[in-house]
Amino acid sequence: MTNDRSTFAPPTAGWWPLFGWVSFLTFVFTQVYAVLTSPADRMMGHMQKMMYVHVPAAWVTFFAFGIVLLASVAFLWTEDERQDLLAASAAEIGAVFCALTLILGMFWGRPTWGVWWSWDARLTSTLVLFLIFVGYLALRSFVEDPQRRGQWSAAVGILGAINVPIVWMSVKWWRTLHQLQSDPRSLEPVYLRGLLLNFLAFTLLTVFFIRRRYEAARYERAAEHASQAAALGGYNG
Amino acid sequence: MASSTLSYVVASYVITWIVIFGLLVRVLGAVRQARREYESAVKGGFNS
Repeated sequence: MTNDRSTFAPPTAGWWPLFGWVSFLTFVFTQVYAVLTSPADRMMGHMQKMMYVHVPAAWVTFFAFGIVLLASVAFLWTEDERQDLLAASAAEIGAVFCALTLILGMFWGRPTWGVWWSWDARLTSTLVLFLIFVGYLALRSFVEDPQRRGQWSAAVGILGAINVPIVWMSVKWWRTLHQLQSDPRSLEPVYLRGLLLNFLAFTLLTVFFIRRRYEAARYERAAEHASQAAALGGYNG
Repeated sequence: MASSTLSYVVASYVITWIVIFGLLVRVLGAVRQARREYESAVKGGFNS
């Protein structure tokens, strides 16, 4: 394991607080813009406006779990603990957005399908994805040894991220209740603009959340290391 | 009918904003707390 000084050096916030403000203000603007500029849909009426929260939440879930995949592979490859901490941070944020996607889907499904939940392929595969990452986070809290924790959670993280393309393709492979993904070419520009802007805002926020959570994880690890060093120093001295 | 579907839309936005604000508070709180713990651990190390 790469336990050099850089692993335990506390990170700096740098320009991330500014990035956070920009992300948050972008989010506020894009939400207001999308709601105010999109007319009621011919078929769905105002229900269409749910697209600006449900679809971007699903996208950032995939985005966060994509980071888990890359960081987990990088950790297994390099044994650099920072990659493990990055994967864990992305998994935590991704799990929250996955839960949000499921809840928003239920709020969309109730008036559209008449039920809060259906064991439809998309809903079920998303629930499985969510449960895998809840398991990932639970596993991390049970294993104390950092190296073993990193290896086991990297394996679960990779397994979970492999489920992402299954979730994506589920509406094509099993034609059940959930509609097919909207093709940007089939969306009216007035709806597409709001959707793309919200994709951007949710992505910026997710990058910010993952980076700050990673920063906290690095501080936690640095604090553990400093306490161990102090204990050893005290013992030796 | 229209007002009842609108309530689902409003609820979705309220939930989304609560989650975003919740994440913001949780993440920034975690950074602050972790930094404090690190600083006290380092201070403890110097004092020992």
